[in-house]
Amino acid sequence: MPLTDGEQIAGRRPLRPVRFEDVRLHDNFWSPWLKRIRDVTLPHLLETTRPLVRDFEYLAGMHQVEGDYVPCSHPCWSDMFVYNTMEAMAACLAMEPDVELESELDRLIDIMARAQDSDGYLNGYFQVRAKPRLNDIDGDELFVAAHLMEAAAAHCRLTGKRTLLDVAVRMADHIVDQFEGGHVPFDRSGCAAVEMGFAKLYDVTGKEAYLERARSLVEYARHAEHIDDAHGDGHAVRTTNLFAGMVDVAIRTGDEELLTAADRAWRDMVNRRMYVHGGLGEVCTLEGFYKPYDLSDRKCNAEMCAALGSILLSHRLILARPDTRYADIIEQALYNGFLGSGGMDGRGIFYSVSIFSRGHTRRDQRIWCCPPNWTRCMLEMSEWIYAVSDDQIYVNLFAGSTAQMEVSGQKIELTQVTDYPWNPQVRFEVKVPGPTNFSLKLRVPGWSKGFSTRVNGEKLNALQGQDGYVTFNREWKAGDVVDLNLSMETERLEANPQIKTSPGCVALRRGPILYCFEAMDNGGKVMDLALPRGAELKELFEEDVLGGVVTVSAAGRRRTSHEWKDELYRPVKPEKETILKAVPFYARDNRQAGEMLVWIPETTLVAEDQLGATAAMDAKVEASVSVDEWPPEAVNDGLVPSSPQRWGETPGVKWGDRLGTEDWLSLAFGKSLELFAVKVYWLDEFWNGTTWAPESWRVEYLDEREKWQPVISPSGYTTDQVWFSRVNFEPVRTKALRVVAQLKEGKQAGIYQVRVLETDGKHEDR
Amino acid sequence: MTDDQQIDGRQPLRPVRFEDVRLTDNFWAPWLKRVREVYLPHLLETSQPLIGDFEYLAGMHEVEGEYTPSTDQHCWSDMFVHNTLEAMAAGLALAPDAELEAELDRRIDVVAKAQESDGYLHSCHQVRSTPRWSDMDNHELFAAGHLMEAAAAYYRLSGKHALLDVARRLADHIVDVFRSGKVTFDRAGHPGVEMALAKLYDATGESAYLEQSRTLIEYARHAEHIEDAQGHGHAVRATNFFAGMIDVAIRTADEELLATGDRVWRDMVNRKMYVNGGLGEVCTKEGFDKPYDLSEKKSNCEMCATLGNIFMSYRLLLARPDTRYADIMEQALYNGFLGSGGLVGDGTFYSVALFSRGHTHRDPRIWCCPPNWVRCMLEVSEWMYAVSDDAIYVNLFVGSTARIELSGQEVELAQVTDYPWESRVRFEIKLPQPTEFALMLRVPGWSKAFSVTVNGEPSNASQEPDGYVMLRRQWQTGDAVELDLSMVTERLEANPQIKTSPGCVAVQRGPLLYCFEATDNGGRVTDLALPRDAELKESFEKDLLGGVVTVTAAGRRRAPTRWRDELYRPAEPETETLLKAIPFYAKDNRQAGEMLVWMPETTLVAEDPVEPTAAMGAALTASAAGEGSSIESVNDGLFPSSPARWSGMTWFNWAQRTGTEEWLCLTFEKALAVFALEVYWVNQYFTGEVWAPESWRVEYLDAKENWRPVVSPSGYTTDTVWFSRVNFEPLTTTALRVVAQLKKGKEGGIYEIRVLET
Repeated sequence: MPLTDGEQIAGRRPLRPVRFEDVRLHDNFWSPWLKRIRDVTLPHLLETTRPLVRDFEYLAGMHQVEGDYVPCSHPCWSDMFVYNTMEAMAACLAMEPDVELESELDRLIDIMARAQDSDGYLNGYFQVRAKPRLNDIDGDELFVAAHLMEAAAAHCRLTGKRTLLDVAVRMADHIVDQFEGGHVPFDRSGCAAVEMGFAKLYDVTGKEAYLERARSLVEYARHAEHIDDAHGDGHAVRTTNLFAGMVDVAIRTGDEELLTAADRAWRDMVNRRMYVHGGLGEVCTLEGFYKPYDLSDRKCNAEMCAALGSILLSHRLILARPDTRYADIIEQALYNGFLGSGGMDGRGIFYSVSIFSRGHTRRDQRIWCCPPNWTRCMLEMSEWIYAVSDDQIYVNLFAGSTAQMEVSGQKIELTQVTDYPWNPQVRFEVKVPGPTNFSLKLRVPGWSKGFSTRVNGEKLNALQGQDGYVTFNREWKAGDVVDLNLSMETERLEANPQIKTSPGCVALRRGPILYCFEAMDNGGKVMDLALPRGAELKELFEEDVLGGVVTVSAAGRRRTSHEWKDELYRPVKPEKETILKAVPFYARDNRQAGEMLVWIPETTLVAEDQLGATAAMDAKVEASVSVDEWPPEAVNDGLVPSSPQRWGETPGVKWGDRLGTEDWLSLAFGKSLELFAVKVYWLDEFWNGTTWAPESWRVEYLDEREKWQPVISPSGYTTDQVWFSRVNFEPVRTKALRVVAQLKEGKQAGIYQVRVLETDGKHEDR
Repeated sequence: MTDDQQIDGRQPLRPVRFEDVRLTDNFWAPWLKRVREVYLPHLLETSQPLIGDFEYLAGMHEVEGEYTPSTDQHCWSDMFVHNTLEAMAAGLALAPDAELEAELDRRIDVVAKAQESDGYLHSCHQVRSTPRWSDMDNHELFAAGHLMEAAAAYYRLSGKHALLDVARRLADHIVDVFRSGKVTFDRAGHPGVEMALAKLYDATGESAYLEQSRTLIEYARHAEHIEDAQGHGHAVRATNFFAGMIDVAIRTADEELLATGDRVWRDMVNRKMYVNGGLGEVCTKEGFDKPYDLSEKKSNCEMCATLGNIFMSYRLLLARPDTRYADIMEQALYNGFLGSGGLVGDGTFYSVALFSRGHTHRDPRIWCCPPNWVRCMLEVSEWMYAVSDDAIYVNLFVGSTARIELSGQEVELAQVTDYPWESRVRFEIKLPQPTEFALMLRVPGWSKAFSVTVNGEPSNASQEPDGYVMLRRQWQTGDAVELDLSMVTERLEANPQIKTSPGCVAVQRGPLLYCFEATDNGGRVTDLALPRDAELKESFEKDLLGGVVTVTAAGRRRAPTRWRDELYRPAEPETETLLKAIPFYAKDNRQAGEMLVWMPETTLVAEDPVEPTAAMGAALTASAAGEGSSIESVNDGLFPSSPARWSGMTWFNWAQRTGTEEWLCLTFEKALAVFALEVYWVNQYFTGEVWAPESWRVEYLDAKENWRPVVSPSGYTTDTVWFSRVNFEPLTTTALRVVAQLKKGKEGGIYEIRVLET
């Protein structure tokens, strides 16, 4: 299936992908994942989609309904859940026939076809609700349609059946018509993806109108200089999808300017806005890019679909202009930010694959855009391993597998034998019908400090080309063997100091695998740890841990917990020696819940203080306004989220929906205590939320005459964006304290947690 | 002092005057010798032109036409003359010197003759006929305060009252003008006079002086923070002010005032003090900014502010003895105060900063600090002891012999010690007849343990709630007490509410803070780290800096690899290196170079290297260039500790233009491939005229000789402590320019530009 009709881009023809159905995995890493997805995840998805499918069934006239139909309560984009699930079904069938699954898929397609309007329009959410169509850019209709097109193109290619393709084509034609008729009041797709969808449909059908529509939708970002330029809100999924679609258009139209824009945006993303696991987007912007270098792990959102978008973009750039830098980013995102979404129970999915956790957020089994998208892409992940030109095979990822591909007019079988990602030796076995000339281009990953190669056992001093690949150009015979030996060491990564958060920290990486420290391997707590530079990193393959992983251990230090008094300097507190243990990041949160971090300090001085119990925990809490949804007891339950913007993680207290008022929250201790400091963990959805840290606040105490008085000589009322805000004051003996907040104009305010410090200093380990 | 009034439930302590405590040690005695032999003659020399102005007022010069006062004369500079008088008096008290005495008396005569008939004395205003008492920022009261201080001291030391008479006439005049309501302000502007009026009250018993002092401090009776008394939080003013408040509290038994003085002292010590006991930031010029905003890069630490801290702590000690006050006094004394003076030359540091790139050095010119430092150095032994009716409080440890009046006896108390290098102190007592009193020995906060013997017998005396070890007994001649403290080199950490310099420690040994100088550490210190597990080794080096204990440790140096336009990279290998620290006070007495106190525990937070870049060879042009602004300075490789530390540095500015769009261009000899540019913006935010720009961008000269913005810039931020860096799409060009939109009403300026090649 030629993609490019002989057009050139960047001075040469783009590469062709080797489809996932042509690459059979037989390794010990990916194969078990894929098996679990087929056995557990897909059935789970089928179950979860039922309420959504029911809406389509209703539209297909399959349900007798008395009175008004009550649709499924899911949001406007949720049809994509169904389409992704259908694509996942098709992908599974391609790997292994399954009559029951096939008939269920055919049944679903039939429902879709019947639910489709006579003009081709298909969108369960809009049709059931009879909402105006293609009228609101934020209705996500194009986004949803894109996933239909993707599923349809895949289904047609894999099965040869045109049933779903016909549905998609009718919908695509409808969209094209509406745009061409001037009936659509927007010139871009809102949540991007349809650009890629149109390109895929164009590949299958050859209809120029689809490619033209895609080109038209990416046009406005032709001169983008930054990844977030295309969308005002810098939404990470939207922007990565958009630029991936832009590369699709560039490849198919030979438009080098578009390709350059996408490559530039890719570099902007990779060099200034990407978390170390390949994830993208912050919580404070609700899934978007904030400022360049603003990559605090506490605020990391890293939506799975954004890491996927990064892979989709990088993969397309490889096709357009092969370079191992793109493959490095694919691998980094794939093994970490993408793979880490799925759980080893086969059901749970992380929407936010954050690199920091206090243990409150777990994988989730509900309907969300990520689960089906993750599932279909996992099933198809082997598509990212190879790409070919007329006489070249590019190897971009390493996985034990056997691939069939057509190069130099011959059917070639290429087998990889490797224990990757645990071992860096990869053997390539070539089978060809007869001696054939082609180039085998092996990626040398950026993380590999050295490499060696052998051909048929003979050592060869091959060099990396400008594009980062090692090229073997020869006449290949069946039975030829190439050995690639990379250098895979556990190493410490440092972060560019333009990232001002988490100073003094390193992340551990071994080959493509990023590591993390989980509480259960590290004495129940990890925020108080440090990994000094001098500590040796010891690797160990543990067969029985997390399905078999290489763990890394080292002699570390734990800070002793001592709340600071109202003082500026003190002799350093003694540290405790401890053995640190890190596991691959993707495998996190598959055991006991607990803290997790990726960036570990080299000195305990920048580690976090532990949160021992304080007198606040025993206090009776009251608030000037109290609503059932936000019970005041949440402020002294000892739980805090990863950052003040991560409001889903732990309960907090809000003064109802009051805006801009002065409100208070009091703690009555039941006895008289001498206190000298209060720490408040404010909710702060700054940027786009309704609940912001207050304009100002103060602490008051109850005097002997039961009157509230401001504390004396407060050290300042600041509001911290990633941690408790602390105020010290003249020690005061009192039975009750209260926090008085002047809420920002037009904003609500809330508190996750309050801590009070007593002068006798009982704030040590819980 | 107090006419048996009580404060805080007891009588305040009395000081033991410096003239009654003779230093005999190897630490302070050589310093005082140097001060007498080098600094005092230098003061006499530098104050000559200022004395000339007084001589003119005294009618001693024939002047044709308008008199041109000395160029050193400022509204505050009379204090230079008056402090010098006090330093001369103190010098005479330590060692008779007929020539010095004659010069002192001559100067007093000149000053007396310069005084107006109504008692007014302020040479700057008198020469210029500036309206009197019209602006509290004219420093008339500040200068008067230093005259009163000198007068009270010389009267006490010599019994001569010529200077006291001048001071009284001036004080009476001040009391009169305030009483008459002719003064439009109710505070001193620059405090100092509050303490001085109290001293004059002590010397004369004139209660109007005390009352005047009380009036001047009254408005801050309920202050909660150290900066509350002065809107702009000037550190010298605030500390002098509250020291005066405590003087008044002691003399009027006003516990409320004392509580205020103590509260603001704690606010200062616990939230606003640098680790050398210094105070004040450069960005506020000389004041407090926000609590915990204690970046060493912006530390100003004016000597006089540290001295103000000592004044306050010492007065609180008299009012309510507690070793916490003595701890802070000692911390400030041995570090932020002593560090102002040098072991070579005759200069003093105005700013005793915790961080240096090696560009600022001790300065021999006229400034408020030199004479103030000299007089207080000569009088340093006054802070050692304080007495009540039946107790001697030992607050500082120095080899010395003191004569102390106690219970009607003259007690001679000798200290034998190698402090601050050794932590053993022997006290030897001589007295006419056996007498019961308490010897109160301070146990410093830094000492984790201590032991005491009396006449060789171990004592089990423990610390009282006030932190002192009390030895109460019948003392007799020949009694000896030995105090053994625990003095180990330790690392200090900073409260994380201080957000700057995370991951750093300061090295301290007993009262001494340490610093790392480039000359001991391979020429650079900003790229170093001191890991926690490195053992700190002490060694007394007799021939170094007059004899000091140095501290060495196995450290690490970060590799000089620049960051590309990238986010993460394998941690750069470090090199092992031997670190060496010297006492902070002894900094900048050898080869100039970088110095730091807060040392990272990891090289990850050490500074990036700053080796020369292509900018250095570039030709420079600008849209406008101001007078006195040096365009060459943007590629001379020199930049200050922080963008707010403009003093002593040259920088470029656009001809004092404000709010305009301006550019500065670098033209290279040949086309270069570049990908990043760093600008070290001048930023006098808070008080200055030159601010970091509203916005800026980088442009390059394209093949058609047109200016184009660089593509895909990584962001144009402005850093308040370092270079602001922008990465962009690599490009090849013969010229780059920085285009700045200046803030409305503000100038813009650049210290340095760096250009990074691919």
